[in-house]
Amino acid sequence: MAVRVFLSTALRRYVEGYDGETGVFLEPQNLKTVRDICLHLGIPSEKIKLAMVNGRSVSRDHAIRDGDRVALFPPVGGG
Amino acid sequence: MERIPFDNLQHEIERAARPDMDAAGRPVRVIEDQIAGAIAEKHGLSLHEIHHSALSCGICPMRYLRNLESISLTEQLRLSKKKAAVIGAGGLGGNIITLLARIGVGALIIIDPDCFDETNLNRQALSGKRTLGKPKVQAAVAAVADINPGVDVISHQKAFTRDEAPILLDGVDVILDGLDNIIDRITLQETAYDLQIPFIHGAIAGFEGQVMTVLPGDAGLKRIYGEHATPEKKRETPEALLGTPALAPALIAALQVMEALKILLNRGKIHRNSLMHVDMETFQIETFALGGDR
Repeated sequence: MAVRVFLSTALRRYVEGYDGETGVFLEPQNLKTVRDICLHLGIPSEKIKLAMVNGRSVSRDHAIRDGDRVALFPPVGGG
Repeated sequence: MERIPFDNLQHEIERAARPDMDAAGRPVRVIEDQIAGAIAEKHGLSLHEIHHSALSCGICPMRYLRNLESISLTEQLRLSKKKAAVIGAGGLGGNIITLLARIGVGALIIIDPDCFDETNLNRQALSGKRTLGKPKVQAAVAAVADINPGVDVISHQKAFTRDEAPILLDGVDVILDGLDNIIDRITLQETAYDLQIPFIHGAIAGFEGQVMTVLPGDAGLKRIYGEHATPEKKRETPEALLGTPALAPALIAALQVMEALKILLNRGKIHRNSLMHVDMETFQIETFALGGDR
């Protein structure tokens, strides 16, 4: 199983050398949910406002599947 | 000054108009601002009223000639009757205001409590040497008068509040978000719901930004920020950590104004119940589906 995770704005600093073009490629043997991915990447839960899988908003308990494209967003509020 | 009957005014505008062509060589009758302004002054009318009358006769104010045919004369007339509110005249707001003025939205309501300081100069379209220390709304009024004196502007140098909104936003057709924090945005969305006015959200951090159009009754920002958004620690927000260079506010403001245009002209597909996310560094624009009703 493999998923690709994209991080928005300030979440990128949790992954050293993060590349916005490719995101993070994970082969999560024991990562089952979006929450597991966040924990695995070391991103504190409260820093994430929105989790998307394949373009749709999902809960942290959403079960991930092979080939999923996960995108995580913090609360962006600048203007 | 003498108020003249509408038919006579139209007749005078017809006589002042001249045949011309747009960039594609199509014939158009036009009227220049200088002539329209003289007619306005003669009759104690605003330039906005003369533009409106000219458009009613199928005459294109010269300043809108290059809007054709992306915006037709009929649509330009419709825009001249519309009123947009811009809440916040900073990074997003400054760009939104100048775009709405150029495109010819008839009237603008602009609300912002602040004055420009040096940290605004990196991104805020209305800030510069001449406006430093001055109220942002004052700079906005001057900028619109310079760009398009055919747009009526009412400004309020005050923080936006839900209580005052029914008076300040009376007759507004669309509200554009130029705010700089989440809590005020939630309040603005609730206010837009109270008043049953479409609301166009935009926000930025770093080289990224987001846009969403919220119609009255949509869950809107609740799907982005949660049901009960709490104030973020200012120093820990993405926009504080990454800064806000000029590029994202310019692009996101343009996308917000495009949404406003679609709403005001009732054309195209609006980005409702979905979040448009733009990463300028990777050139990615993605739309994410969110929930619907409140």
